[in-house]
Amino acid sequence: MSARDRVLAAAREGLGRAAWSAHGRTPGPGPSPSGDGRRRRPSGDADTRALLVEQFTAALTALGGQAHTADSPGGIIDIVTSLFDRYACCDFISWEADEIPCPGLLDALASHGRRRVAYDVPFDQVGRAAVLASLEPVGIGLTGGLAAVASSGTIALASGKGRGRLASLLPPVHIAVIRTRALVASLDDVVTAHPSLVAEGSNIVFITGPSRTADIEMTLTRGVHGPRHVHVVLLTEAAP
Amino acid sequence: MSSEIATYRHAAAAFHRKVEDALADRRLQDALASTTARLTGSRSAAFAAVPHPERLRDTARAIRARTIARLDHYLARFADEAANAGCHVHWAETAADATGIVTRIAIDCGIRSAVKSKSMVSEEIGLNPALEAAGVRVVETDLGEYVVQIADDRPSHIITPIVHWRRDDVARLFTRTLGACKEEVADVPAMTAFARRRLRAEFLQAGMGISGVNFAVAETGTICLVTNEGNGRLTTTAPRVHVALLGLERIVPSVADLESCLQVLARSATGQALSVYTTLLTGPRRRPGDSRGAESDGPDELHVVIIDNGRTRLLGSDLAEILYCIRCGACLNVCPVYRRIGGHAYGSVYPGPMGSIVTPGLMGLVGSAELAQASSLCGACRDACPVRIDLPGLLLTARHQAAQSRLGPRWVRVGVRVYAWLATRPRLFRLAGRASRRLAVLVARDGWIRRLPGPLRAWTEARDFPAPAAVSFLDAYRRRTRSPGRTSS
Repeated sequence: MSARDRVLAAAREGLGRAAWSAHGRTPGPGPSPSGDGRRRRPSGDADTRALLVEQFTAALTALGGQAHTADSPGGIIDIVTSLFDRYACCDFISWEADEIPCPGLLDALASHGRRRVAYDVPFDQVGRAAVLASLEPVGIGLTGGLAAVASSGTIALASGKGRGRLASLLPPVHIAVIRTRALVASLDDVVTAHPSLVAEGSNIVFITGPSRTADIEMTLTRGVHGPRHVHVVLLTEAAP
Repeated sequence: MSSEIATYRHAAAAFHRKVEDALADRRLQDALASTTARLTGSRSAAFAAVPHPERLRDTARAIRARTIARLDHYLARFADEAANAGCHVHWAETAADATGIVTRIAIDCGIRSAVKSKSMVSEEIGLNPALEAAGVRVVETDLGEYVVQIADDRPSHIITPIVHWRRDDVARLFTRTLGACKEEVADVPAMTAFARRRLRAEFLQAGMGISGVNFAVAETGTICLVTNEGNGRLTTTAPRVHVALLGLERIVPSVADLESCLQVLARSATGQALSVYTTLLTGPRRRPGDSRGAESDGPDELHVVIIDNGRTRLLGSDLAEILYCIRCGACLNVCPVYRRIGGHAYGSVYPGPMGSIVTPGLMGLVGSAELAQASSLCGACRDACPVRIDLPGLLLTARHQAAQSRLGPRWVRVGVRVYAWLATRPRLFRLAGRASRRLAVLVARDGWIRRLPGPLRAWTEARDFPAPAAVSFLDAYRRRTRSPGRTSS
């Protein structure tokens, strides 16, 4: 009998004995209480979209992040290059060009003299540590995003081919470019919009503002282990 | 005297001593008062900001209840799906099994140093000493846990581990132990930046990352991890091997269920709508040759250690409802006892009301039966609990179990039996009441009884009793109803 079998048998035995189920506190198995009556698609009309952008901006700002909007790839490029200037940043790591919803952005950064550090973390420990150490001084991480949540100022990123995890994690500044089409009202809308959410990537991360801690005397401090600065650049576009 | 009773007495005496120490510690009192008040306030505000907070709690409770009621089913499903996603799934019946499994993974992978993201279950199983005994250096990376580790202290709160530390204590520690210069400890942001630099170096060279699991999703084999600092993400991204420790009750059936649980967890723990980083991990980094495309980073191996350590026994006990607990810490912050004595006094990894159930539930009653006594049964914990665990009810159950197991002093059992005998005989009861009122006059000072003689003294060591009224309620009631014009119509 394996450890698995023994633990599961013990669980079954415990459940069979459970006096507590007689207290009437525990409903039996039934349909999932989540999601009942809330299967609504996010509305696509322009007014709603503008309201969501407004909400998202307010929520992210309250957390110490910053939201920007642009209505064309050219506008995005202007915003991103000026952010690179602001942080006096030369080297950056990023998702691959076709994973960022702004054609020409990486080329524009290159022509501005910014250097994209491409990496593929090796599978051996020594090589791995060396590559990670070489990425450590990089100033900005640039990504796209799967979704954004207006009510909490959250962005969702899915890892995958051309969508590295480190770009939103290692550098002190994270810039995410996301279409407003991907902006939804609340967290459960993300699950609704992506019914097989976890199939989108082996690592899905919901990022709600800059890294923070309040461990020492409840004093809020930003930028502990993750990025100190979070910029979300929203690409507004006509409703589909 | 049996050894169990000796153990019980020893633990109870140690608990009382630690309570006395905590109450006498002025700095601790100040720190606890301000921290718990802030956490309680931000929790209330966070729940007030959602349209239907009570419905949200109902949903979260229903999810936990439904999961625990079929835990064997969901657990097996999770293990299968996690394995399908490429995880190595391990099962640990005891704490020793769990530490043995992690140590073996470390040795097999040739790991010399590991980084760790905050995990209560790792404290529960005593992972750090086990790994260090095997020659693996373990570095805590949550800022509070890092302080606790280098100071050789213990966490005093499950969410904010260094409630009992002040900024100048941390500054002194960083200066003395880590050689920080004056500028590096000038203020909280400087100290945080100092810790970031130190820990960044650890993250980049560690071979293994160890984390807990906030929730595990049965239908997809996904593990969910929540942190604010980002140490959880680095722990599960930078090192080559990720080991996730899962207390086996932390399962939710589906991703949709997960979302409801995350909302109440963040609001209850820190008053946030959502924690800064909520990570959903489904298998390790995808390697070259994967049909979905190879990834450029992430852990090569993901091990999930499913830990029982008393949980399945708890499942069949009268305390089983505590398995709904999502470890948010809300019951600690509102508890009038925790707010006074802090986490260390409980002498357990899990303090506060939930800890007073979890600890005897997992470790057995003998060493921790006294914890359930440290409650006024005011019910604040039940009101705060995001999954509506009947904590006062469970505390009473734990007390009942302690009484049944005859661990406590004999005179209490005899006393209670005498009281029960008297209380079911009205005439005798009134007589005894009259007698005790007479006696009370002798020991009361200014309307309070502060000290009782003989074995009763133990009671007044921690309590003042209001002196009984000169006239009993029954007598007063009779007099009132007899006097003309005062009868109720």
